Amino acid sequence: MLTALFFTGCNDVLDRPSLTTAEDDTYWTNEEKVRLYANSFYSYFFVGYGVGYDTTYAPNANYTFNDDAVRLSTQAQFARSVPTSKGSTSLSVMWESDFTGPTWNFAWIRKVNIMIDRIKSRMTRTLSSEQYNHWMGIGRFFRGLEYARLANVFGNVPYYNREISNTDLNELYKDRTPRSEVMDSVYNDFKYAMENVRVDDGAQNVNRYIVASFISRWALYEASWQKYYYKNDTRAVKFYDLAVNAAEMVMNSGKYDIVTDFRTLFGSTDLTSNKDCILYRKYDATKGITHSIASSCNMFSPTDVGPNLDLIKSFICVDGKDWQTSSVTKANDFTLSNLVKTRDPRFEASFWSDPTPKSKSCYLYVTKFIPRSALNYLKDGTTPTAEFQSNKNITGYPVMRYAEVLLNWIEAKAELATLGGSPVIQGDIDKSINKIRNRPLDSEAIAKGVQKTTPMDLSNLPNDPDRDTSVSPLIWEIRRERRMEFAFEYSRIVDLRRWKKLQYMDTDVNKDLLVGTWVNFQSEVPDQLKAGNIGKIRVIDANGNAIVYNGSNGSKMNGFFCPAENVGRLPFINVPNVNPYLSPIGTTQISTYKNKGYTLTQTEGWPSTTN
Amino acid sequence: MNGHSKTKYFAVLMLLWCFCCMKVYAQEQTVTINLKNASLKQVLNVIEKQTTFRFSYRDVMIDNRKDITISKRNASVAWVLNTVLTDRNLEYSIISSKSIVISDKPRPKAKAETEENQKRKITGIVKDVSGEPIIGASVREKGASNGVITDIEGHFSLTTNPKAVLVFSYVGYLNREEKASKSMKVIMQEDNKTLNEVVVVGYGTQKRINLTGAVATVDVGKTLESRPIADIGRGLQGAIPGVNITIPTGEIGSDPLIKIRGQIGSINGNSQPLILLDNVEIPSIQMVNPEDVQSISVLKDAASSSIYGSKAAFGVVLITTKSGSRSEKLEISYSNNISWQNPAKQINMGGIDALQYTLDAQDNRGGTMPAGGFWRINRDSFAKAIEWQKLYGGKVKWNDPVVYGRDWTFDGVDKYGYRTYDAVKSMIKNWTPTISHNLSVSGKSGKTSYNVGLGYLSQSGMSRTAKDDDYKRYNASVSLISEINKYVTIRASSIYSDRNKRYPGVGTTSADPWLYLYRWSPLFPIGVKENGNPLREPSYEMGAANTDNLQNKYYNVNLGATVNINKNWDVKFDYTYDRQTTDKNSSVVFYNAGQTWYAPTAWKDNDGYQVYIDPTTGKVVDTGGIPAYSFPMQEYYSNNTVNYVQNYNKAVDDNTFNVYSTYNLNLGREGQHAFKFMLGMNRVTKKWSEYTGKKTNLIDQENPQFPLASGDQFINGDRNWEAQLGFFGRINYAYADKYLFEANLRRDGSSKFPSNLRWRWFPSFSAGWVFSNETFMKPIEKIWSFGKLRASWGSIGDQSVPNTLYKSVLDYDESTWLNASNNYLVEFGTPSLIDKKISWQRIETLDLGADFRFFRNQLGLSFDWYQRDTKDMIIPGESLPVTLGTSAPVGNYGNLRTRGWELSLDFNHRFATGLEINATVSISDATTEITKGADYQTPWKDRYLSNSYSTGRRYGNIYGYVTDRLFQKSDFAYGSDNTIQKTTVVYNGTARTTNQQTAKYPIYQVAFEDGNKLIFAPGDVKFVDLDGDGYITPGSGTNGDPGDRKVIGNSTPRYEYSFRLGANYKGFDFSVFCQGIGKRKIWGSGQLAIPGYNAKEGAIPETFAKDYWREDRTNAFYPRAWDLGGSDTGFGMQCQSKYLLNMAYLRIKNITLGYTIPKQLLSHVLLSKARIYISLENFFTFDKLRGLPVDPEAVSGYSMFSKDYNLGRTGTGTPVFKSLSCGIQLTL
Repeated sequence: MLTALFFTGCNDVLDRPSLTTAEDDTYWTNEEKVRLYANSFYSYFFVGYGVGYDTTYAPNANYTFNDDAVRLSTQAQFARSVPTSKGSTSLSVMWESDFTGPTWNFAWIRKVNIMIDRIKSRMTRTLSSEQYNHWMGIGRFFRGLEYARLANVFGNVPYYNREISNTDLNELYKDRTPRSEVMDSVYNDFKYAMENVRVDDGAQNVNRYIVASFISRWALYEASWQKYYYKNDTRAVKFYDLAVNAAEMVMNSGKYDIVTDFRTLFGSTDLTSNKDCILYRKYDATKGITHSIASSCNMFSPTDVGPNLDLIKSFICVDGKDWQTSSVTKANDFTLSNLVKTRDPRFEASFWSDPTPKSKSCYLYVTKFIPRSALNYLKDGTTPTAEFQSNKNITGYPVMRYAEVLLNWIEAKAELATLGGSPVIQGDIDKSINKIRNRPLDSEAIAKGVQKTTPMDLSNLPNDPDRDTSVSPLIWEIRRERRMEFAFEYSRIVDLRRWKKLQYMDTDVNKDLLVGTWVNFQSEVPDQLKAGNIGKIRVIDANGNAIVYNGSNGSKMNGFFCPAENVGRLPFINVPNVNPYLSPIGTTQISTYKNKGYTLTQTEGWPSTTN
Repeated sequence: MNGHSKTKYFAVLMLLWCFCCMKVYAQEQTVTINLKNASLKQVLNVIEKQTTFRFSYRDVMIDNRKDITISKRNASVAWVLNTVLTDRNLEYSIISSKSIVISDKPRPKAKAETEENQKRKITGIVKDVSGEPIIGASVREKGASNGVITDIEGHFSLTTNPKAVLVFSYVGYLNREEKASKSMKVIMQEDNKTLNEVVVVGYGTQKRINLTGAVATVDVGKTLESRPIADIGRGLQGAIPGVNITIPTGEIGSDPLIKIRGQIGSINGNSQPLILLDNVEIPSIQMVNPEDVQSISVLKDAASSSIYGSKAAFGVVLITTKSGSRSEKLEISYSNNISWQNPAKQINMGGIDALQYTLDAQDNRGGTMPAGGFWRINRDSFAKAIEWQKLYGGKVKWNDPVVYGRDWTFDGVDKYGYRTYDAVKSMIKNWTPTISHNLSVSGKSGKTSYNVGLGYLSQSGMSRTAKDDDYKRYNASVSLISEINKYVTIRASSIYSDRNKRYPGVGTTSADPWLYLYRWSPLFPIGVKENGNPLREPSYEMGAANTDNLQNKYYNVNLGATVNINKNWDVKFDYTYDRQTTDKNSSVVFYNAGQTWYAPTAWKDNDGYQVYIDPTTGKVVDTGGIPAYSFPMQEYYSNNTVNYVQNYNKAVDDNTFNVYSTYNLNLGREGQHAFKFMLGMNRVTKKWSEYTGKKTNLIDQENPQFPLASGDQFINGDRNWEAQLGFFGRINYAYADKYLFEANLRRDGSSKFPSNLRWRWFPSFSAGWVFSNETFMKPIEKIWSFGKLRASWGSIGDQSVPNTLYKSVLDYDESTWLNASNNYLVEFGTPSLIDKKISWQRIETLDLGADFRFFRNQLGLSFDWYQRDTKDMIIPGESLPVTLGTSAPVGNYGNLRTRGWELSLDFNHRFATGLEINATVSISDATTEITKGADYQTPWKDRYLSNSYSTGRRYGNIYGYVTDRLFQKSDFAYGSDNTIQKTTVVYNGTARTTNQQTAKYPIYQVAFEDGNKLIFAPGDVKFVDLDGDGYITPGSGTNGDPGDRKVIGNSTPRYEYSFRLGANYKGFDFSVFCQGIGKRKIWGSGQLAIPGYNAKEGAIPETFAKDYWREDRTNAFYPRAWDLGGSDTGFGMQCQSKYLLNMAYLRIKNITLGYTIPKQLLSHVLLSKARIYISLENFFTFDKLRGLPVDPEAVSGYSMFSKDYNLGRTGTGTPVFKSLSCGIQLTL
C-alpha cells in the first residue's frame, strides 16, 4: 500500500508533456491553423529567384538547358543511362535538372493529403462552409499542381488521394497509375479549386486567380503532351478547354493588365500590387532573405552560358516579321546596336546592348533580371553595389505574370482550332499577343531607339522560311511570342517536350545552337585582339567562313562569335534505351519492388536494368 | 537477535524512514588452538586460518623446532603470540586487522637516559614489512618542527621533547605514528592502494578487493597533475581501458568525445556516458577543475552502473571532489602551469605544384582553359608563376603588399595570379600561451573540516589576426563537513564554474575562416594588403570582425546529512540544486576591403587618372606601360545580408534529490558472512528555457549593443521540462572475503514516455571469487599475491531518445517566403509518422573479468571480456518505397551487439638505491554488430550495402573496390596517330565506347564512364575484378550482388592502447605517457582527404601535389590529376582500398620531468612540499597519413558548434595543437 502511494505520487512529477510542440491530435482547431499548415507550400511551389545560392527553379541560373542557350565547353547532355536509384522523401525543393521538375518524391503529396483529410474528418464543425470550401480548394489545388508536375517528368505515377499508412503495403508498393487516370484526378481537383478558392484571401495569399493562372499553365501543358506526344486528341481537347476556361477567369476578372515595362517586372523590390503580376515573391536583406540571380546579370561576373544565335534569330522584327522576310532596313544586320533598334523591345530588355567577353560562350550578356539602374556603375568605372553581387540580391520575382495567362490562352485557343474548335479571330490576337506587344517602353529603351513591335495581323502572318512545317504559321508565331517573352525563364524546355520538339536541341542539325552574337572585334571589343587570344577567338563571317584570330587579321574578325570550345551534345534522339522526354526511375526501386513481390514499371523508353 | 529477524527489522525500518539505535558488538578476533609438539609455523598457520590476520616475517627468523604445546579455546591472538614467541627472542606487532609482523627483538641498547623532564635523544631503525631498512624515510616530532631522514641502514637519531610522538613517513608507505621510546623499531607498511583502496561506486564505496563489477579507477595524481590540459576529459584520454576519448579538433574550450565500450550503443540514443559530479549529473566535463578532483571511477558494465538507472545505459563517469581534511593542520596548496601551443602537425599545403595539379586536371578532363575558380590559371600564367618564384621567391615576404603586374594581371575577363600566398603563415599564431593557477585551502577545526579551491585558466587560440581568441575558466569550490554528534554529520558544498570563450565573429559553422586555410588555391591573396587597403580574405575578416563571446556558467549547491543510526547503519540525504546558463553574444559587421573575388576595376590615382605600370617590374610609370587594375574597395557582409547584434540565452535548472541508506551486517562465526544492504531513491527534475534576441543596423560597428542598433528586432524562444524518478536497492554479500555476490534492482520512471510505458524494472547481478584467499593458494602467495574472478550480468533501460517519439508532431518553422508585410511566413510541417507502441530500449551487459597481482603485489593484471546487447533498439522500420512520402517510422525493431575486451597491466618496484619505477599498459578493443536491423525480414542477399545498419553488418564497415594499381600507357592500344584507339563494348545490353586495352582479357570500367570525356586512361585507377566478369561494376549494391565491392576497412577505432612509464629518484620524477589507436580507416571527405576533390577551388595538400601520376612520374601513389567538382567519390576515385585514410596512430601524449625540493631545505621557508616540472603535451605523433595535414583523431564535420562543420570536410578545422609547459606546485 505504501508502495502504491509512492508510485502514484511520483507519477505527477513525471507528467511533463512537451510544452512547445504542436501535435496532430490537438492541432486542427481553427482556420488559422490550416493556413499556417498550408504556408509551407509557398516556398516550394513559388520558388521565384530561389534563396541564397540555391538557384533551383530560378531563372537564368537554372533554365539554360534548352535551345536558347550556349555553354562554353560541351553542352549539357540529356540523361543517357538509368540511374541506380532515384527518389526522395525530403520536403526541400528538389528537381531533376534536365527535366526541370520534381524528382520521384511523394512527400508533398502526403502533406497535402493529410491537410485534405484533417479538414474533412476533424474540421467540419469548426470551419464555416465558406472556410471549408476555400481550404479544401487550396488543398486540392496544391495536390493537383504536384501531380501535374510529377506526371510532366515521369508520365505515369502512382496516384494517392489519401494519406497512406506505413502498414498498407499493397498501396505503397502499387505500380504506376496511368497518366490519363492521374490527370483526370488533377482535372477534378483543379475544377474544384477554381470554383471554391476565395477570390480574395488577403495580399500575397493564394486566391482564385492565382489558382486559375497556374491551372491555365498546367492544363495547357497536359493538353499539348496529349496532342503531340500521346496523340490523344480527346484528352487534348479536355485540357485545352480547361486552360482556356482558367485563363478566361483571370482575363475576365479585370484585375490584371499589361501596364509595366519589361525590365521593371524583373528588377523591382516590390510589385505585389502591380497589375502585371498575379503572384510576386519578395526579398528583404534585413530578413536575410536574398538571392543570387541579379548577380549573374550585373555585367561584372563572367558567365559561361549565354543566348545563342538560334534565339537571337527568333526575335521578331519591329514590323512583326521574321528577320528574313522583314522589310525593316538592315533587318539582316546582326550588329547588336542594330538589333536593339530593329527587334522586338524584349530583345533590348533581355540582353546587354554591346558584345562583351564577360559572356564567354557568345559575347551576348543576359541583363533581363536586374534593374537598369544597377548597371549605372559601368559608366563610372566602379563596381556593382553589394546588393547586386554574390547572394545579396533583393529584387523580387513575378512568380506568375498576366502575360503568361494571355499566352497560355491564345495557344490553347489556336490548338483547339486545329481540333475542331472555333477558329482564332483577330480579336483573340488583340486581347493577348497584341496586348503584350503594346507593353509600355521605359525611357532608357526609348532613348536607345527601341520601338514597339507592330501588332500581329492574322491576315498577314509572317511567312518564316525557318518555320517548322509541321505546325501552322499561327501556332509557329504564338510559340515565337512565348520564346521571346520567357527567354531564360522557366518554360522553354518544358515547351519543347510537350510539343515533342526536343530535336530543336540537336546541335548536329542546328549549328546556330553553338554560335553567339555578331561581333566586330576591331570596332566593338578591340582590347580582345591581343596576343593572348591568338588561336582562341573565332568568328563566322558574313560568308559563312570560320576565321580564327592569328594576331594580324583583326580587321577580319567581324562575324558571329563562335569559340571552338563550344562543343555540341551527344546524340539523344532515337538512341536505343534512351527516352529524353520522360525521366527514368532507379533500378534499385524496381528491384526492391520485385523482391517484395510487387512490380514497379520503368518509364517508357527506358530499360529496367542499368544500361 | 538472530540475523534473520534483524534483516526483517531492517527492512521495515527502511520503509518507514524512521531511525532508532541498535547496538552491534565488535567481534574481537580469537582462536581456538590445540597443538602438541608443533613448530612455530604451525601455530601461525592456525591463527591465519581462524582470523583475518596474515603474518609477515623473514624466513630465516622462523626455526623448525617442534617444541610448542598449546591448548586453549577462544584465546586472544595476543595471548597466543606472547606465549609462543617469548622463548624465541622474537617480537610481534599488529599492523592492521590483517597484518602482523614478526621480527627480532631489539638488542639492548646503551644506558638509557632517565631525566623525565629533559629533552632526550631517540634512536631507532625503520624497516619495511619484509625487514628491509627504509632509506630516506622522514621522522619528525608531531607538533614540533624537528625532523630527520633515515640513513642508508634505516637508522635515525633525533632529540625530542619528553612524551613526544614521532611521525614516520615515506613515499609509497602509510604514515605511522609511534610514541617515542629509547630505541625504536618501526615497521612501515606499504600504502597498498591497489588492494586496500576504497573505490567510489554507485551510491557508496567499495573496497577494490571486493568489487565484482567492471569498475576502473584513475590514479588522479599521475593522470591529471602537472599536465597542460584544460580539462579532465583530455587528461583521461588513454588512461582507462575501454574508455575511448577523442579530441577531434583544436578548438579551445571544446568538449572531447567520450565513449565507453564501443562507438555506438544505440542508433537513436546518444551513446554517451553519464557524467556525475558528486552523484549529480553535469552536462560537460569542462565544468570541473582538474585540481578539485578527489577520485574518478568509471563504471563500465551494467551491474555496476545500473544503480544509476536510465541515464547510465552507456556507462558512468563518477567524479568526486575533494572535501574535508584528515589533519588538523591548515594546508594551503598552490600550483601553476604556463604552456605554449603550436600546431601538433605541420600543415603542408601545395604551392606552385598545386597550381600544376589544377592545370593538369583541366587538361585531363578536356575542360576549356583557363582553369581554376576565381583566380585563373593557364599554361602562360603558370609559366609566369614559376618565373615569379625564380625572381621573387624568398625576396617578397609573405605579407608584403600585392602588386599589380608583378603578382597578377587582368585581361578584361579573368584574373591571373603569379604569386603564391601562404595561408598557414597568415592565419596561425605560433606558440600561443596558456596559463593556469590553482589554490586550495583545507583544514579541520574540531569536528568540522573544510576545503576551499580556486582555479584560473587562460588559454589562447591559434588565430593570428583575431582581436580576441581565447578561453578563460574560473572555478571556485567550497565544502564543509561537520560532525554534529555521534549520529549526525551534515555537509554543504558548492561549486562554481565560469567558462568564457571569445572568438572572432565571422563566418558560419558550416564555413568558418579555418575552412579557408585549406580551401582556395595559393593564388588567392591572403594575409596581404594592396595600396594600404586590406583585401577580402579570411585573415582580414578574422581581424576585422568583432569578438563573439560564449559564456557558460554553472553553479550548484549541495546540502546533505548523514545519519549514523549505529556503527553499521547510516542514512544519507543529499539535495542538489544546479543551474547552468549559456550566454552567447554575437554580432555581424560589414567589412570594407578590396574585392579579390570578382573582376577588378581600373586603378585610378587620387586625381582620378588611370595608373600605368611597367608589366615587368610592376612599378608605376609615367610614360608607356600598361593600364593597371586594382581590387575595388567595397563594404560587404560575409555570409550575411545585414549587420546585427545577437544574444542567445539558455538556462537549465535541475533539482536532484538522493536518499539512500546502507546497512552492514556481519553474521556467523568471525563474521565471515558480510552483508551490505542499500535502499534508496533518486529524483531528478529539469527544466530549461532559451531566448534569442537580435537587432539589426548597428550604429556603432565596433560596439555591437542593443541600444546602439536602430533596425528591426527579432526574438525567438523555447522551453521544456523533464523528470526521472528511480527506486533502487542493492545487496552485497561476501563470505570470508572469498565469495562475493551483489544484486541490484531498480525501478525507473521517465517523463519521456507515455504513462503506460513509463515504469520498468531493471535487475543486475554480479559475483566474484577471490581465490587467492583460499588455502590452496598459500604456498605461492609471494608469487601470486592476489587473484579474483568476476562475472556480472545486468540490464538497464535507455531513455536517451527524443521525448516526442510517440507523438505525431508538426514542426514549427519560419518560411523563407515573406508575406505581404515582409515578415516570414510561419509554417507548420507535416505531422510525423509514428509507431505508438514505442517503448524503452534495453541494454544488457555480460561481463567476465579477472584481477591478478603478482610478486608481492608489484605486478598487477586485470582483464575483462564483455558483451553488451542493445535490445528493442529504436530504429527506423524497414525502409518503404518513397511513395509513403516520408521515412518509415521508428520503433523498437532493432538489436545491436558490442563485444570487446580490456586488458591492463601495472608494475611498481622500488630498488634499494631509492629508485622507484612504475609502468602501466592497457589495451582494449570493441566491435559492434547490428544483430537485427530494419531489413531483417529481407533475405540476406537482397540487403543493401548502402545501409550502415543492415542486419548482420559490422558497424563501421566500409564497402569499396579493391585497388589494383594505376593504368600505364602500356595498358592501352595506340593508333598510328599516337592516340588511344577506341573500342565498343556491350555493357548491360548497351553499347559503350571506351579506350581499348591491350590485355588479353581486358577489364573495362565503363560503369564509371560517360562515353565522352570520362574515360579511363593512363594514370587512372585500375580496380581488381573481384567477380571475374570482365567489368568493374557496382552490381545491384546488395549483399548478394555487390559487384566488385567488398569490405575494405572499418571506421571504428580498434585496439586502443596506452602505456605509461615513470620513475622517481632522489626527488626527481619522470614520466612518459603514450596513447594510440591500432586500427581505424575512413573514406575521408574534402580536399585534404580526396585527391582531385575540387581542383577548381585549388588548395591541395603537398602530399597529393608531389605524388600524383604524370607521364614523367608514372610510379606515383595518387592517380592523374582530376576534378571531382566537390564530390568525395566519382570516376576513378570510387571508395577503394588504396585511398582509404589510415587513421591509426601513436601519440606521445605527455612527457614530464619534475623535481621535488628536499623537505629539509623547505622547512626554513614554511613549505611542506615544493615541486617544479616541465611537461611536453602531444609533442610527438606517429601516423600513417603520408604527411596529409589531417589529425588522426579528426572526425569529419565535427566541431563544438556544429555536426556539419566546415561542410563536413575532413581535417579542415582549427589545428590540433601540442604544448610545451612548465609549472610549480607548492604546499604550505
